[in-house]
Amino acid sequence: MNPVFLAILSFALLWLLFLMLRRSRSEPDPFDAAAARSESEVRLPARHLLDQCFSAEDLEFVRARQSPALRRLFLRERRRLAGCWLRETRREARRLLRWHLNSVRYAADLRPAAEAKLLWVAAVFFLVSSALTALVWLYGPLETRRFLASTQELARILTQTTDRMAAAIHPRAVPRMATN
Amino acid sequence: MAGLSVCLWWGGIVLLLLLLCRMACAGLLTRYPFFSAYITAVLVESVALLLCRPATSQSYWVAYWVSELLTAALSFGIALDGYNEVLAPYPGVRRMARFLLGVLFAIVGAKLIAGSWGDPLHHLPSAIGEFERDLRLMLALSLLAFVGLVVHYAIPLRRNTLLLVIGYGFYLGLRLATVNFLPVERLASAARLSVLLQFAWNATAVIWIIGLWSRVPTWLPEIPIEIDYDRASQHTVRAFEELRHHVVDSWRSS
Repeated sequence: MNPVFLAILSFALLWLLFLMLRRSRSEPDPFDAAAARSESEVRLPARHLLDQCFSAEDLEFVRARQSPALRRLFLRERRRLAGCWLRETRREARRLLRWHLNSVRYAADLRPAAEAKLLWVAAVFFLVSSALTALVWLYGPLETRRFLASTQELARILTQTTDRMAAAIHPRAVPRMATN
Repeated sequence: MAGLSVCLWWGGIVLLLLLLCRMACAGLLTRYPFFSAYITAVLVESVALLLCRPATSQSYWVAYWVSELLTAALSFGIALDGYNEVLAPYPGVRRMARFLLGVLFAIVGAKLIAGSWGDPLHHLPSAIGEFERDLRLMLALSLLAFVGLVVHYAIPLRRNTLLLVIGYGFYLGLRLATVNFLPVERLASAARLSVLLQFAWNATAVIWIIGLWSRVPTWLPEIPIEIDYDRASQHTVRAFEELRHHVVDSWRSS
């Protein structure tokens, strides 16, 4: 047996046992159907807060002061604010997942395929969010937005080129094989 | 080393007797029938092996492997007791557990068949050792699936089952590591390893005694909750997609 596989297995088992022990100390929450209905709604974090992070006027104002220290402070603060906004979205995603698990654990018709699909959708969201967080942390929110815009533009150009190439290839019937 | 080993051995037997007595007093023998059968088998095994000592004799070797395989097979019941006890109020999660176990057993079973194909049992100690290793691996996977589901769905566990699972998880992890990293021929007679495993076993028995000292009623939901699973599931998937689009759109240049 592969020792790496066994090490991963043992670590996963220990970690889950630890989580189980930690959770068992708190009493289970009573299920409140009315509260659950209101909790199921998505609470999207306000977009205008993020838009303010990218405000061109603010950046121009700071640039006009010609103070490198002020500019550094401005960029650091904007990075922190963008990080907070992304953290807020992840918190909302965790809340939604918790709501789902609390609601469906009593359901008799729980389906592995549906649960796997949900986990996949959640994993994709966390992957996108983590990638954005890493980009913001490395380059700052303004550069990240520029980078995303250029990636989007590149994707658009590639799609157009592919479409043109596909249109240029004229469909031709495959020659029939001679049969006896 | 031999004296310490015999002390630990006797200590283990006393602990198992105490565990069985406490389970009987608390009325837990029928609540965990497979676990009770497993503990009884281990108790009989311990006494039988003590009579067959020294560890280098042929009779000890035969008794060791026979009892090891028997108790490894019986220990599947511990996970089964956990599933029956904890997942009873959650029929959907129980079905999910059966599905997960089926997939895991199919994978390990396929690996077992593929591994033994064209490799007949030419060397009995290796074959038995490998079989035990695969049994323990299956056990670890079934326990992992169980604990994973309990943690994922935040299913509440009371002291009895919680410490039963934790104790067994601890011993199983150690056992799996030893059967994997030591040549199988040396497993039955390795003195230091034997003492280490005895320590671990006695610690596990203490955890079980604490956990099963008295009966704790199982937590049951006060009212049966009826929920449209399909609707809830689709709603959550849609909510996640909405959230993702919101995040991505917010970062696009307006």
